[in-house]
Amino acid sequence: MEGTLAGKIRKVFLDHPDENLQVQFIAEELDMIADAEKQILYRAIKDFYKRDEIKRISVGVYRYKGLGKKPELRQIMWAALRSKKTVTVDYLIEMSKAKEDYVREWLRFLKRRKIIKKNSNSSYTLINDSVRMPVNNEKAEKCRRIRQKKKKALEAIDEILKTALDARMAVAEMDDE
Amino acid sequence: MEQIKLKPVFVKTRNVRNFEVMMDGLALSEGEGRLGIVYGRAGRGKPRTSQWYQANNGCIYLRMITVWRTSELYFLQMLCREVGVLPPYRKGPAFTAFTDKMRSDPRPVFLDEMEKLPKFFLDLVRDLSDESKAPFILIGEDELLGYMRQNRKVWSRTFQQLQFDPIEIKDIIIFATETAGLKLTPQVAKLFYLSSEGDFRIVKRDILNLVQIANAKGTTEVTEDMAKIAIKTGLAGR
Repeated sequence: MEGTLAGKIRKVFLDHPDENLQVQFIAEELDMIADAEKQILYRAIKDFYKRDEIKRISVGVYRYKGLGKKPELRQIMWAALRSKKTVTVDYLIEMSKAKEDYVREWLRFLKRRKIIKKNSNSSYTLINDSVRMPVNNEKAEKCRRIRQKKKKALEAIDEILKTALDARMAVAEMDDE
Repeated sequence: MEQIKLKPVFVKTRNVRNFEVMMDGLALSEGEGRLGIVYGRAGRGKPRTSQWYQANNGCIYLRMITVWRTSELYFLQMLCREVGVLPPYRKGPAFTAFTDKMRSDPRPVFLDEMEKLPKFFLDLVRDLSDESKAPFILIGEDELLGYMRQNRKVWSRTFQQLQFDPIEIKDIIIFATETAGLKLTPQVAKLFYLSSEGDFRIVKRDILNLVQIANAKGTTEVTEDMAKIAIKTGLAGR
């Protein structure tokens, strides 16, 4: 992220926490002195302001606020589950606006981990509150395994193609002789 | 006709909108201890709204438990746990551990059913808010307002108060439209309003009954008769 212009601007702000920074100062820090470069910088600063990442103090003076990160759906569902203890799928959808399939998959994962138990009335009760949201690495692990297998298969295909090409060349050379 | 289903949607009623305004108001006085109070009769959606808000905004929510009445320690330990601190076994260290942690990340704290605990807990909440600089929002029934008013130091730090009013006719119409796709006339909505006395839970139950009736009749046109049957079905189970 730091390689991008937004990343560089963010770094300047973060290097001067709780300070009001002039755009001119940021331009100098980033060595963007030419007018054409400054235009790009102004546009980027405007984007920062639009997404509420910086606060405008006065004309050309800004202060960093930070990215108001919206919690992930899983985090919203986890907080809702912890506050109510016993929840239904509908309750989690209502709280988080998540899709039903996603909620069910997440609940299945928690059930596998023995964090919740399913009740007879299709509700789920939190039985092992770890406070911190449990992270589902299973899917990531599965994707990693698939990627590795795919890589190996592609390498094998390349090897076969290379051998076939070598054989073809050899045959061509034989014809030439 | 396709079957009507009740969709799980969080409807932003007038109370919810006021709640958001209240939270914005509390955020304005960032950097100092302050309290907020949300009160009103049962069935108006106070916990639901605070649970929805805390889940979507990374706040802390704690429901008061009757057994904490005898000691502040359990209450403090639970707060420590909520912020990810290993709860100390004594009150003083637990208080310090919580406030230290919160000072670096002062998130709003919702304390539900606060009126269950003795009045002296209000002073503890005031201290927690002062030390941590985090806003504490106390949620409870009408008597909570009286408790807080009696304590001058607590009341002077109460920057925002919000009474959860009975659900309005307009909210009932929006609720039926957003959750079931049923269009209610103001006359029909008024029937639900009068029978529920503004209790959101009862309205929800009656709308659910209405959906079943509409499905049985195979229509989406809601008449006053259908509404009356839905209300009567609900009353029978009371």
